[in-house]
Amino acid sequence: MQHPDQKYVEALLKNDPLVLEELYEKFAGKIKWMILQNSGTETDAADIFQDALISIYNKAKTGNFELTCPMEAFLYLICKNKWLNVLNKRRTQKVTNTDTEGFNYIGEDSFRLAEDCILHQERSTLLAEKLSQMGESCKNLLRLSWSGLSMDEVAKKLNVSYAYARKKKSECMAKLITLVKQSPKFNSLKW
Amino acid sequence: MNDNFEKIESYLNGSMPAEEKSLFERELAESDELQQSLKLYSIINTEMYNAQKYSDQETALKNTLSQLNEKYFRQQSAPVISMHRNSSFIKTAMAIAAGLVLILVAYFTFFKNSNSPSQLADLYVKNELIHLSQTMDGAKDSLQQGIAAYNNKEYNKALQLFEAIYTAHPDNSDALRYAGIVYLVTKEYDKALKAFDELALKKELFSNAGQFLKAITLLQRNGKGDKDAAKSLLQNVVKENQEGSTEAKQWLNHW
Repeated sequence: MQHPDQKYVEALLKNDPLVLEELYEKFAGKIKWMILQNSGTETDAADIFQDALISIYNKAKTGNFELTCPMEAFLYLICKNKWLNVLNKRRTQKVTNTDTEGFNYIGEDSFRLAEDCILHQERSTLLAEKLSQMGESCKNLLRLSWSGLSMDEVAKKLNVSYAYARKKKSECMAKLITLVKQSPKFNSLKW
Repeated sequence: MNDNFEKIESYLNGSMPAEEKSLFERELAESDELQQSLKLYSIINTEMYNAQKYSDQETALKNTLSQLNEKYFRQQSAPVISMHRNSSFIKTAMAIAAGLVLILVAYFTFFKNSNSPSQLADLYVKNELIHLSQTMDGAKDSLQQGIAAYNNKEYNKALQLFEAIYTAHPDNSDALRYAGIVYLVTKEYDKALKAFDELALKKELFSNAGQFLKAITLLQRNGKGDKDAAKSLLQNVVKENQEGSTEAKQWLNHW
């Protein structure tokens, strides 16, 4: 049976402002408190909260997202991990108060799903970053090929032959994959 | 290396001939590197396809979340009352306010009876629709945020909110009405007409301004046949005593 809090995931997918407002009303305070207790500011809390919701949205839009614990616990888990990453990057303060003791009902599957959400978002960010470093012709061709057009239609749009478009796409993908693999983050993103 | 990627592309998009395919699958079984390339190629294709497919929705969602962030993280505001379900108090208050507006408009139009129907519709838009009534009960939900944006003339923001509310809650006729009004004041008459048409079809509403607003839009657009169509709509509004019937009666006297 679906968890009743799945409605918040649906609200993200539908961009439903009323249910999303309810989500903020219920959960924003707790996340704000956790981040303020751990060297963060209100702005940090706002960014982490929004980022966590976007990562849930991104994972959910792939159609493979079923909440098995309360949204509050799930959000807390994601925000905590994201905030730890930020603090690690800043290397300033020690984290004191982010335990999930209050959420002893979180199952292993929820931990995995939370990790999946974060990894999924980090992979997308890395891909977008590497794509932006490529030449214009590659960017154009790849974006067209990811827009749902067939390679034949892509070739017509670019006014080149089908064989050339196909060859060029494989060259561009090879370049993109090399850039992605060279990133120090590559291995930690569990492709 | 690139040759492999060309093969991967045709393997994944299904254009690889059968014989070549079985050869490629044999190669795959023997090479971990090729397997890894295929996996990565496929993940990148899927993730980027999804990212593009949902990019507009993601932008709209980020917009909603940013507004909520502003409200819940950056303002030290008192707890807000969410307007998930309209209370009867709000409805009554809105009905009274709407009544007052109608009386004012009737009064206004009575002293302006030298104007043509198009001018009267124009005055109505400028005087009555340029500002929407807000927060009868201090509620600050998304609809109210949309109204606030509208009153600040941030029409794009207002429209996004109204449309998002209406998409998620097709029973929220206020969101549809306000979206139509945004289109009307930004002179996107065709879209306004579409919204008001949809509003007019909502038979369950106790008070429906759909036909009246549609008539105003037609008078504003003032294209071929628009005035006649507006007249017949206004006649209908009067006949069925719909919302706006007082103004409609006055305006029909100027035809």
